[in-house]
Formats: sequence, C-alpha cells, structure tokens
Amino acid sequence: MNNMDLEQLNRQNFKSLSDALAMPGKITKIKSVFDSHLLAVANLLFFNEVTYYYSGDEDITLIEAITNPKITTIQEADYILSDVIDTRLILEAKKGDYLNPDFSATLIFKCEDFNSYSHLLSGPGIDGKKEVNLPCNKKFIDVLMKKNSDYPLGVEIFFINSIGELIALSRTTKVEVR
Amino acid sequence: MRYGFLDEDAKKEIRRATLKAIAIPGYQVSFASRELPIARGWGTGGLQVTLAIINEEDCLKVIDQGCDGSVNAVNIRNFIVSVTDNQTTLDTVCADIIQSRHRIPEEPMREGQTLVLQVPYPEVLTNVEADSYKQKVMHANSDYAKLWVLLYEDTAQFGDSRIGHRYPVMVHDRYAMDPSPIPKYDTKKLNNNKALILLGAGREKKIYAIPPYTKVEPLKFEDREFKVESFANKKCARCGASGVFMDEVHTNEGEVKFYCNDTAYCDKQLEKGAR
Repeated sequence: MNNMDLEQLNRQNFKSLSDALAMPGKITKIKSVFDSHLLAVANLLFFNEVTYYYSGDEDITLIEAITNPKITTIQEADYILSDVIDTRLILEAKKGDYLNPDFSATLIFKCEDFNSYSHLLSGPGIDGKKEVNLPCNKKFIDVLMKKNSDYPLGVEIFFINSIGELIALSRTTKVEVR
Repeated sequence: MRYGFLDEDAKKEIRRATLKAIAIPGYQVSFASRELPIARGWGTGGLQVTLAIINEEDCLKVIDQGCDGSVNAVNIRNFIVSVTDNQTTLDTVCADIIQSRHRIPEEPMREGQTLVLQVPYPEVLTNVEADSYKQKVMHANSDYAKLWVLLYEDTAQFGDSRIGHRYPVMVHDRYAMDPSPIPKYDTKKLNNNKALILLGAGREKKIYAIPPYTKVEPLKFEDREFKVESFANKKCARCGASGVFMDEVHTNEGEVKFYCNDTAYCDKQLEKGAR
C-alpha cells in the first residue's frame, strides 16, 4: 500500500469520524488499514504533534513509524485506544481546562458489536432524542456522564465494532440507560 | 499535485481542530493556519477547512455573499477543483460541501451536508475587550457581561442593537460566538440547522463549529424582539420571489429594484416559472 492510498483512506475515514461525532448515535463505516479498523483510525488521527496511549494487542508499530506521534501515559494522552472497554481509561483521561477545553482526550474503544445495551441519547447533533444500542453498561455510562458533567470539560468516545462500524458520544451528549 | 493541496500533516492538524470544534460547539479551536495561494483575509480559513475535509465523493458549491459567480467564489472554486478534480454544483440541494462567504443559502440544508463559512473576525468579544488573553478568560468563565452592557447601551440609546450583521449568538447555552458576517436574516437559520456548520478564520487561526440540531440563539433581552432585515411587500425583479433575503439595487434611472441575494435560488425560481 502506498502513501496516496493511505491519504485517500484518511479522507474517507475522516468523513465517517466527523459525521459520527457531529451526530452522536449515528453509525458510520470505517475502511480498514492493514486489515484493522483501529489502525485505520490511528492512521487518520495520529501525527507528530499528538500523543497517544494504547492498551491492546494490535501491532501499531508501523502506523506509529508512518505518523510519528508520541507515546505517553493515560493521563497525558490526546488519544487513548483500547481493545477493551475500560472505565479506568475514562476516569484517568485528561478532560482539558476552562481556558482550553480542547486539550482533552479522545477515547477509541474496540468492541464486538453495538447490541449490548439500549440507551437514549440527547444533545447537539441529535434531533430531540434518539434510541441507540451501545456496547456499554450503566456503570460505564455513569462514569462517562460524571466525567462530562462539567461542560465544556470532558472527553469524546468512539466505539468501533468488528465489522468497522463506528459510533460516537460527544461530551455534549446526554445518555440515559433504558 | 497532492490531492487537496495541503500536506497530510496539515490536514490532520486541521481535522483534529475540526473534531474538537464539533465536540465543543461555539468554542474557538486554534490551528496553525497555512500559507495558501490566496492572501489571508480572502477566505483562507474556510478554504483550509474545505481542503482538509473534502474527499473524492463530495460535490462542492462555493458562494460569495449569495452569489456563485462573484470573483472570490469563482477563484476559490477553480482553485479547489484544480487541486481535487471534484465535481461542483450551483444547486444547494445537490452539494455535499458548501463554502460560503457571509450568507447561508436560501434553501434549507439537510443532514449530511457541511456548510463552511469564511470568517474574518472570529472573536465575538473583540468590540468589548481588546486583550486576547482576557477574551479567552471571559469565554472560560462564560462571562459575557460586557456584551450585555453593549446591547443594553444600544437598546437604551437607540431602542435596539445597532449590530447589523455578525450578530452575536449563544451556542448550546454556553459560548457566545461570532457567526461570521452573515445578515441578521440568516442568524435564525443557525438554530437547529440540519447541516454541520464549520467556521474557519485563516488570518486569526481559529476553527469553530455548530453541529446539526444545536441550539443557537441571538443574544437579546427577553423583552426585545430579535428583528431581522425586512423585505415585506418586496418581490425579486428577476424571478418574482418574495420572503427571501434581497439586494437593493438603485438603477441609473433612479428606480429602486430588489433581487434575490442567493443567485442559485433565483435561477431555480426562474426555471420553475419558465416551466
């Protein structure tokens, strides 16, 4: 695969990522890089000015070599990637400060599918309320809502399932467990 | 030529700022505005946002103060096409990305569309606070007292705000925002718009956004009506449309004529009438 292909994939995947974040609860599709959807997102987001933390088994070394981000701790990372959904990562992720709420983390979780739990979403990007299935239980939602309770401070979360579907929760999204 | 002119790292930085802007509606995210083949102040912020988000499948529309045919719009459209080879359109409905200077199209936008607005002055507090650090602190504290005082002074002296365009808005009940120099007529279109609205200021190096279905309200006192430009009883001299934002044209004969400001909308109305 050459550079141009990766850049083209980034263009297409960015549309999926921005659509998912702009309309929380909307399912979009990610095209894989090196047979991995997580690596495709990493390749899209990583560049030499960002930091990341990865907890998982995928071989991220080539993407890291191509994009040149810095590895750091959970507390300092701009992007936190994980093969499993882990509330500890949300608890420890940076959420920005009032002057710079954008100096906060974005978390990307892999999951098998989105069918585990039904939730009701509301907030910017959602026309009224929207019922969606998410791979996270009440405990996870409670932790996330607490993390994002002091808006504009907070984190964004993306879930990627095994077939490359993407769904996002913005820091403005209110989630009610059904 | 590289697709989209900008190098990949520049696009990644703009995309990161764009995602953060979407996550925090109305908050200005700083970015390293790049040099482009047009001068800063001529739409480079909007242009960089467009170049960072566009892909091969997008159909592009570029307008300048409602017109697809003005010099600025034509040059920006030609430049983007020269570096992307993307399809373009004049039709608001057909476009995936609409880059605009100072107007929101007359026809309602839909989900999935992106409106990129060019912004000359992104900081809504500029007129009441010159110090940029203090502006940032005021945003951090959601302290917009000085804006309210300005509004109060105008109302007390003149009965209403004197701000004609660039009317300050409150986004998601948190950030006061400069909506770019759109007329007050367009301000209400920002509220609960179905499209994603991205605002780029190249000279001031800021990107901010309004996601779809976001509450956006003009800053006003509860007991004062938000008045927009009125074109009551006026019809477009070309297509006959009424109830739209119009340009007032004084002819050499001393006549005053009104024309739709959105030329693509005007053309569409004319076409409908001709059928």
